[in-house]
Amino acid sequence: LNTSKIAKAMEHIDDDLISGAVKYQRSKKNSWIKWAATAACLSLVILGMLISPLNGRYYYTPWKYGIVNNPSGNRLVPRSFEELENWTRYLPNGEENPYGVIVECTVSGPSINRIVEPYPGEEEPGKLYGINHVLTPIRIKRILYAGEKTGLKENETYLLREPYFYIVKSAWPYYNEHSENKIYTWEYTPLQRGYRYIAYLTLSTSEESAYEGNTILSTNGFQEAVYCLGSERTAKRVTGTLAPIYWNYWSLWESVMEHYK
Amino acid sequence: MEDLQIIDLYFARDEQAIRETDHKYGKLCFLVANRLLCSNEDSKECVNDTYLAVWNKIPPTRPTNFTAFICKIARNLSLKKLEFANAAKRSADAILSLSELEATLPDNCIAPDITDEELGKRISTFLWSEKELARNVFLRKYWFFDSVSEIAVRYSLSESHVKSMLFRTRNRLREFLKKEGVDV
Repeated sequence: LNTSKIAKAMEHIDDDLISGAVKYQRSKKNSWIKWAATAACLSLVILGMLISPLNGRYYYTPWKYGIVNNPSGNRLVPRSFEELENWTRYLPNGEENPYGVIVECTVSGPSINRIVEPYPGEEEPGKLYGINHVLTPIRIKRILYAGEKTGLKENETYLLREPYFYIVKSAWPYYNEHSENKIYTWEYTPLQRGYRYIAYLTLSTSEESAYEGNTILSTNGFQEAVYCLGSERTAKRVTGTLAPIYWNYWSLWESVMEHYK
Repeated sequence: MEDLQIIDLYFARDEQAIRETDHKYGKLCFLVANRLLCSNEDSKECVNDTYLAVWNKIPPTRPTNFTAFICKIARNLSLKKLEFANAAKRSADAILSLSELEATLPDNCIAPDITDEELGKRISTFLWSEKELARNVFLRKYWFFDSVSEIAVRYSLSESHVKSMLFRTRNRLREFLKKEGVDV
């Protein structure tokens, strides 16, 4: 196992930290407090919206825009681009982000699956490791907010590096025994062709940046910043049920499996 | 049975000590091993090796924190077993977790004269300064190699909340190590 220095250092952390993590149980707050706080906040929001004018195009209401890929349903929804910007100000590598851009875009073509070859020495038959990066072409209709040096233009098509999968392929008996180890996902966004989205994007700093000379955009780590426009007939379908999300998930999984057969 | 009583049994060389250890910590050791090995058989074997190692270490060692003591042994034995079995059987969760940490602080950023143990102590200092929830989420991910979804279930959080918490903790860790002169 090729472990780095920091990974090795993790073996030397305090005993009390480890036993603490074994024993720790998050204290559950009284549910009535949560509900009372939620009701109070909701009242304040409604009151605020009733008495204050909607100022300009940078203000929108949370129910007009649904969040994509939020099965748990408990993420707070930012109510302004400024707030959105405040929440998502870091690049995936942790640097402060001067390149962020908020765009209105559509998915203009099918996703491009890229299978990264397994690591050397892991070619054991029936067991295969790799990462599937899926690049989705999106056409930018409007740039609503742009940080510095984005270089993006309206009415141009770019590739969005989402979603990507971590795949573990094993023999079928292994699947049956450990079904949860079939596939690992990270940051899966089921953007669908023809739908309109508002998305907070960054320029990707990853290795796909050089993919066929295209500019690669990313929502990596910022799933909360992708919205499907509520004015679309399909928005309800995306946000109201989980079925399309999982349908896409398994559909993509099947296509990945086809690649390996 | 209390940990101290179990340790006393080890000192008395009473085999009941192993049965009591298995009763109290068998499941935990199995989880620690299985997270890395992804194999029930290998994990059971690793748990038995752990008991043997504990039997050999006590006495003379008298651990002050028996939970951490046994977890560390189980984890180290699992890691060794992985090395032995080659990389092909590595657990996906462990790879993801380790590569996340390595991305935050790659080897070439770490001062060359600092030992793993010293770095471990600095990380401990950092973790003690973190809030309890963030600290334990970090440990569950990078020490126990729990998946994001398992942590989310364990602590009644959404998966995206766990991810963002880990992301921010990793960044704070890097900043902390930079201030400590570890990140060069």
